[in-house]
Amino acid sequence: MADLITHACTALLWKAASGGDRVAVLVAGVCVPDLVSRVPAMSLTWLRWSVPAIPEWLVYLWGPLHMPTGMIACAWLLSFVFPEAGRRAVFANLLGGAFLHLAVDLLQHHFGVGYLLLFPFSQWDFEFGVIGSEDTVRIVPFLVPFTAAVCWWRWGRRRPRPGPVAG
Amino acid sequence: MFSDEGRRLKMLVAVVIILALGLRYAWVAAHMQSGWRWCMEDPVARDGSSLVFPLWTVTAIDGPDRYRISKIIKDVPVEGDTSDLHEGATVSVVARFDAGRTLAVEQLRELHVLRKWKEGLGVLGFLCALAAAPFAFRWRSGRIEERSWRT
Repeated sequence: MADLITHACTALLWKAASGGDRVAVLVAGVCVPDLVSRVPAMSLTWLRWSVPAIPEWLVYLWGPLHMPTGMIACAWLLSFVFPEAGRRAVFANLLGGAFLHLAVDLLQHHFGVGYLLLFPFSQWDFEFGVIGSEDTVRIVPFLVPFTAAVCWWRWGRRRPRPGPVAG
Repeated sequence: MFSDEGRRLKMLVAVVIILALGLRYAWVAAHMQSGWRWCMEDPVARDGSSLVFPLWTVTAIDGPDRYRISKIIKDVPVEGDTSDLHEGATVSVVARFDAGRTLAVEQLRELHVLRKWKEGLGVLGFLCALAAAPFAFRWRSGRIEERSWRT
């Protein structure tokens, strides 16, 4: 996984470039895979070192939420906490954010297995492996100000008020 | 599929799908034909097997050429140079299982020196998301609504 700052920046840049609405939902969607999968799994792993009674399956339970099938189910579930009107758009943006997250993560290289993109139908794993698993840390100091500048240019500038009609 | 009709039932179906996927994944992980636990089930037969430990935490340094790593399994003994290691460091290790000494003999190792920074950025990102959430969303009539955004 890349860090959440990098993921959030990619979502903002995507929306700034594409010009679509539901910006906050896409940013939420890009953060959700790590929040619902990695955070509980890592927390339980650490906790298990002190409390071995925690069953191993409970640590693995969250894994599929970082895979396409789990992301679809999770986006569908979360879309129901939004109003019915526009729920399809919310689902599309949550899922789009999750897939954008996965696309960035796929750039990384790890020892061992990559990402199980076809689970549970196949255990085939894949990643592009073009950057190290911590390389996004080096990018963040440049990515954050760049994203802030793009967002200001896209959404933050004062729009000129319409002047009086001449003549 | 997205209407309010049967909303609770649809949410329940989504939760069941997520649980089923999670349990299936846990079953697959527990029955993998590789890894430290698999080797320890029949050490003699699996002597020399390849082991991969991606992003494990160093939990003990036992000497100049011995350390222990933990993740889902605690304190797997590894033989390898410890001069650049410390407790709490994150490493990825490719190793060979040595049944006679019941340890993993390191063949390739990557020390993830920026891991703590990455975890720190993750926490910072989470805190930023928490702080920004009230400005981006509001709670109304039992649902979450996105606040208007200038486009």
